[in-house]
Amino acid sequence: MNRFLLAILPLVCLAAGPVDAPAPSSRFAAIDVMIDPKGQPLAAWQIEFAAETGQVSLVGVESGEPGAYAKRPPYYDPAALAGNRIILGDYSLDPAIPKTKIRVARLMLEIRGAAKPQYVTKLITAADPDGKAIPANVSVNDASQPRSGDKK
Amino acid sequence: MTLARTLVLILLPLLAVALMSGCSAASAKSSPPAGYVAHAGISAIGPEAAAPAAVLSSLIPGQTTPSREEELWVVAKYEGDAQQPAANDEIPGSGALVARLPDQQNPVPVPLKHTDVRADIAGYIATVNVAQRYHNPFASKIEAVYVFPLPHNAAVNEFVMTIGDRKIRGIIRERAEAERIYTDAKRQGYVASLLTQERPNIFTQSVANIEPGKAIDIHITYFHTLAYGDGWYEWHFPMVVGPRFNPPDSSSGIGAVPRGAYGASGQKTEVQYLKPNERSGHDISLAIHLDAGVKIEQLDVPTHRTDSRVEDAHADVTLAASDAIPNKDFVLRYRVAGDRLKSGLFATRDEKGAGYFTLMLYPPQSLRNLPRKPLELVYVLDCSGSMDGRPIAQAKGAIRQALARMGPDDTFQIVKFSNDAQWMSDRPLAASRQNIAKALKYLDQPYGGGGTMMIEGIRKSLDFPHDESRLRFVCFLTDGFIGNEADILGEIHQRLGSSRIFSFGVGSSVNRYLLDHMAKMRRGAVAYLGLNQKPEPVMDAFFERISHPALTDVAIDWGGLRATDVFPAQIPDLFVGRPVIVTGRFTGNGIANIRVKGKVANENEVTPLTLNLDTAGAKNPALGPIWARMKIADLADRATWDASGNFTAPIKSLALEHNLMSAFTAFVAVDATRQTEGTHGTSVAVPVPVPDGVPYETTVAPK
Repeated sequence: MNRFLLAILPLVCLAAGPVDAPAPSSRFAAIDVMIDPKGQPLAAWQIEFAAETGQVSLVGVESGEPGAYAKRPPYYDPAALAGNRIILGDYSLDPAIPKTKIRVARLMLEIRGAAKPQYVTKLITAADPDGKAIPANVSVNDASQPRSGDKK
Repeated sequence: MTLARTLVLILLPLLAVALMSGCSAASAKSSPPAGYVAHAGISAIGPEAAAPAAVLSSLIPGQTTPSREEELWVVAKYEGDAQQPAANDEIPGSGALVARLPDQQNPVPVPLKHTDVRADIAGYIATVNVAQRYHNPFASKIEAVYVFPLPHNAAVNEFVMTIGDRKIRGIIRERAEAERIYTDAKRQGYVASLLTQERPNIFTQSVANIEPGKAIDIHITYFHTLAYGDGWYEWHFPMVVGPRFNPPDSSSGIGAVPRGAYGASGQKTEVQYLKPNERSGHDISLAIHLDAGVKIEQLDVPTHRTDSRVEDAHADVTLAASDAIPNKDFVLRYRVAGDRLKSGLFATRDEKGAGYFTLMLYPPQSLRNLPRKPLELVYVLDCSGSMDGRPIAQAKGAIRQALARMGPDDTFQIVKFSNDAQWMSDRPLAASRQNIAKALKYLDQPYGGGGTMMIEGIRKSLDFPHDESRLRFVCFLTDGFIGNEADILGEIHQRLGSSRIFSFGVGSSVNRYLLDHMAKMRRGAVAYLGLNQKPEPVMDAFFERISHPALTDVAIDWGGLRATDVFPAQIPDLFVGRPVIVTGRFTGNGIANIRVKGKVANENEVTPLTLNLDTAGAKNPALGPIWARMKIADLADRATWDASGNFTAPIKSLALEHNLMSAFTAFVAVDATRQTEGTHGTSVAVPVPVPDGVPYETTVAPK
């Protein structure tokens, strides 16, 4: 079967357009967003994310690590995005709501220009299952994996 | 689910309160603003900020969206082509035959493996999730490209790419920017996906860098309202784009080419079709959960074999596994108890206090007791290649029935078009027995079989004087398989005058966007006729409607309701059996005493309605996107005939704000965690079968 598929690939590849030449104008990076609810159950959260330096665009939002925030990707505010702001949030009904530091989202970013971005985050709110505000810390980590043979 | 809603209701006020405390922009500043923590490069952050905030409620997608079909007079529902399985039919219901030739034992390998559709219908609002599974059956990396249909009134506002267990939400962007991001990501070897809109009912899904043996799922969510008329709701899901005809010298149409003939059409968007003896491994599953709100009296799926269970106000319908070839529209109809909806009004306020509503207006009961005016009917018959065989036989059957229903004071005309157009007579003829006999002969004369120069048919049918003493309907009988919809709509708008269009869709996968909009342009009507359906009842329903006068010059006095941005901007005439949905924004509280005013045969008619605005809560957060979708559609319609206006900017702005697909916005998702080996994959189009009943030879090949 594989041989058959290899043989016909050139035919179906007729669907391919001409290979485009211009060099990419941007690069991409994945950034983990972590929230530490300091021992309180984290049932809902909302943050704002920005690049202090560098030109950065959101090109995807991945769900959190396995557990309460893995079932779906967080939501973003499209109206804020239109104003060059990134606002994310989600809630969880999982019985095992996290109380310790957890990755709640992974941001897929497009970076334009040579400058290394510096990211800033801001906790808008965090809440327990009763809707009561709780204190929490937000942090970010680089989640991009180097391609084999590439230097990070 | 109840628990979920409860928690959301608990949390949303908290988050909304946080929002009200104010949130400042935080980009491109030399130092972090208050409340932010800067991260040198990528490092830890603190927050602690007590809270300017945002709008979690606006982050969570809504539950419903409206459609434009309510603005239309839906004369008849598609009755479909449900076929009994033949004993020797390997794939019952499929128009694509599977030849059992030695070299075609295996299906054509395509990068789209399966489509799963889940619809949740509440009242007349549907939430639909479409999951497409792409895979790579080849030995090297590919990009999959699939051109597919969705209902033209669908408000697509959620897009998620799934890779294994990882789910990545797509982001709405201006279309050009999304395309650039996708292209850059593809070139650099990232797995990425892009959803663009080619027509309101045709979309292109591209998925880049699918590695050999790997699968990627795309989840699309949209909302729309159901069509309603004569007690029946109708939900439909289109499964394949029919082969479109594009006028000579056009390049922005929808091309139809044989599998593998990339670029042969010269059109911007192109669909590759399987030959009649080919089939791909792509199949479809579909399940619907229906909560009608009131007892369901009758439920019908005329197009497919299904397993159905109805219990009081609820129903579950599942597409039978034996009918899983996606080559014709799926249609579900249901009738509820009573002759009216229990609730014609849906209203909501968002977290910022902005109100949105949809309201169903019913025609006055008194219309049923009044006789109609004499008619002038112009039948315009599409004789192009795609109508060959069963479709044109159905269309002719419909015209024969219509001629039989005409009265002695009525007049008629017949126009045929394919590469050009011709008419039966240079003026409308009285509907006498002799003239009808001539018309039947004229219908049976051979003609056409070529292209679909619908503009010629429009000119021929609208460019002669109208007898003002008669109510004039121009009845287009067509599958609508053309690629220049905007030109057609513009031409009709320019020439229609006081005539009304009755667009009559014939076939298994009709271009509903075109037919609905033709009818909507000037208070017209639309009906759909399947290939195995009897045309007589459809025409009878049409004549029943026009056998009574309409409520014309409809205007609404909104009373205490401060309504703005109401769509449709021009309220259509209200005919018997045809309610109209109006949607808009509002402010104010309390009881609103609305008065619907109009004229019946030059007599003023006023119908009072009472609305309680205090009952409008955050129960239906999708009404905002619904309203936005309606406004976008209204702007797009105007753009087809008003060249002086700038409609692009407002459409783009609305779509971005409400997270909606449009002609100028697109969803893009990139997995930036890793680059696949190599630069980019080879593009492979997903070939599709021609719709059931459509001849391949005269529509796809040769070109």
